Amino acid sequence: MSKNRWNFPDLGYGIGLRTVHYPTILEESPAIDWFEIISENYMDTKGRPIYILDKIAEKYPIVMHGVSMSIGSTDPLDIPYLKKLKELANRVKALWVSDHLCWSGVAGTNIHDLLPMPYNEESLKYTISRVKQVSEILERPLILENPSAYIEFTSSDITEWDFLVALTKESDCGLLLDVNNVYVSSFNHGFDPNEYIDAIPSDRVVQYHLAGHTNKGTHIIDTHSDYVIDQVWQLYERSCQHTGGRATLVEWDDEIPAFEVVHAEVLKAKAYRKQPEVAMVGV
Amino acid sequence: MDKENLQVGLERFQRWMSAAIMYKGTDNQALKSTEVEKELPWAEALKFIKPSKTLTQIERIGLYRSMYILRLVDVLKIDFPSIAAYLGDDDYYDFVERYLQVYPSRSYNLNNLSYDVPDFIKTAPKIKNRAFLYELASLELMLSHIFNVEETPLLTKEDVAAITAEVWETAKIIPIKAFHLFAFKHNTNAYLEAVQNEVKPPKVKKQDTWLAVYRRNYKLWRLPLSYDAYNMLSDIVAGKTLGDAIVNAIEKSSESQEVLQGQVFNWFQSWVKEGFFQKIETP
Ligand SMILES: [Fe+2]
Repeated sequence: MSKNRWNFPDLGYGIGLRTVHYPTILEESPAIDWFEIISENYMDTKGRPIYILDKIAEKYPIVMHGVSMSIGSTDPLDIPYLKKLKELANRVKALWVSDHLCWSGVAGTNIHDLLPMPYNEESLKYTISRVKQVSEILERPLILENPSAYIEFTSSDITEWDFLVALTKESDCGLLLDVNNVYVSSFNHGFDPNEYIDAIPSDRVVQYHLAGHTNKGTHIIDTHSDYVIDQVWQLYERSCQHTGGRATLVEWDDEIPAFEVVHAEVLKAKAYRKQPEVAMVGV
Repeated sequence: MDKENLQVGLERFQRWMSAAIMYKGTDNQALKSTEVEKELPWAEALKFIKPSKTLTQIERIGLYRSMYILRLVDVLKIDFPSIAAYLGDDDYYDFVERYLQVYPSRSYNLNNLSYDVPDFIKTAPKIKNRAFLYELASLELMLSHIFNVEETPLLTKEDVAAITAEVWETAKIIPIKAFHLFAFKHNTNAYLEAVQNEVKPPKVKKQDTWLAVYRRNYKLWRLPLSYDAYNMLSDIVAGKTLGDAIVNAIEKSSESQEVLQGQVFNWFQSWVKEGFFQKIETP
């Protein structure tokens, strides 16, 4: 089985920690491998959220996933934010810290969305330098997730997967490969998702995201409000054949069902995760 | 010409997209507005965004525009459910759109987006029943603030028993951090309570009411107070000695000194039980 570049552990099958599941988790201590938290939900509070997170972190491995780093923004990095992020990571002994390849605002305003970058030489160079700065501040490698997108720009002259290949290599960052996002963007932009999956360097993949989405016919919105569809499972299976499998997580953020339902959804991944078909002999 | 790739620098691209997303109006109005055209003229924007097989350039940017406002409408409803209930869906949506024009988010932390809502109510044009809504928004904002402040140790019965009779008069009683007092000119708490309980809210009416809001065991509580109890508590919160607080309360009260002095002991016992205080300071 191939490893990721940093030997981050394969944590098994986790779900995103959501407040509606707190009672089940606290009262029943369900046998789940790990949780991923939305970092910002626990960063500026000294109340119930952090109190509960401390309790959960005592029992389960925690991975941090942020939505506000805005790595691609041309605004300066938010240093106080990064310091708080690092403090939280140390507090909950986060196995790794991830965010998205995106920008969220400019000129001091925040749109609170994961906005897509144009993919070209300028944005690549810029993102590489920002990732390096962030990794230094956080004192750990940054793990970036591929976003889902609804728009493309004519100033993009490289594909998203080529951008990620170059970015991970040049900035030495890891990848949180969101297989559903690959599918969503492939539908919205009209590319072959298999080509994307096959291009991703296995040693950079630290974690997988899986989720459901909303197909509007003309486009797909990444709503995280449903079960994972078959085509996404097939892409996951294809990627696992390259990587040998990594820590896998289901995100469910809207119309969230009971804990057991979300947990059962991620456990389906076991069936799709087989050993690599082709042994990498002599490589 | 139409096929020509338009190169737009990263910063200019972000300023344009950010302005286009935040503009209040239709998608066409947004892209043709002065604020947005300043960054990228309409004709160039049409060349810069790629259409998909099923969506035009305008429809693609429109997806981000509609998600922006819907997301923040939902986010503000978490902190201001009673404001949303009072205004009704359409007026609340319009209220949030207008609010974001004056106070766009400037922080990664979505909690900060709520801070200016009471001020906006105070000063914005065309706010119905402004004085009541200001009270309601101030109460809801305080509840979300108290939710996140740090936990303080609680005054115990033993702490109280350890204070000798002769020093009570000069003692200062320090409230917990998660504590705030309100004096309203309307039935504000009754309105909020009805919204929380999902029952029909009462008719808004002018009425002097007093309220303590606080957190105990990480849960938020509200306790309606009498005028006399409010006066005494607000002096205690302001750092006056217990002796001064009692004298002031007696002066302001319509009750006789005997009646009030009789009540003070009961009030104090129930406030300690509710967890209002963290410690007693004696000279
Ligand atoms: Fe994701």
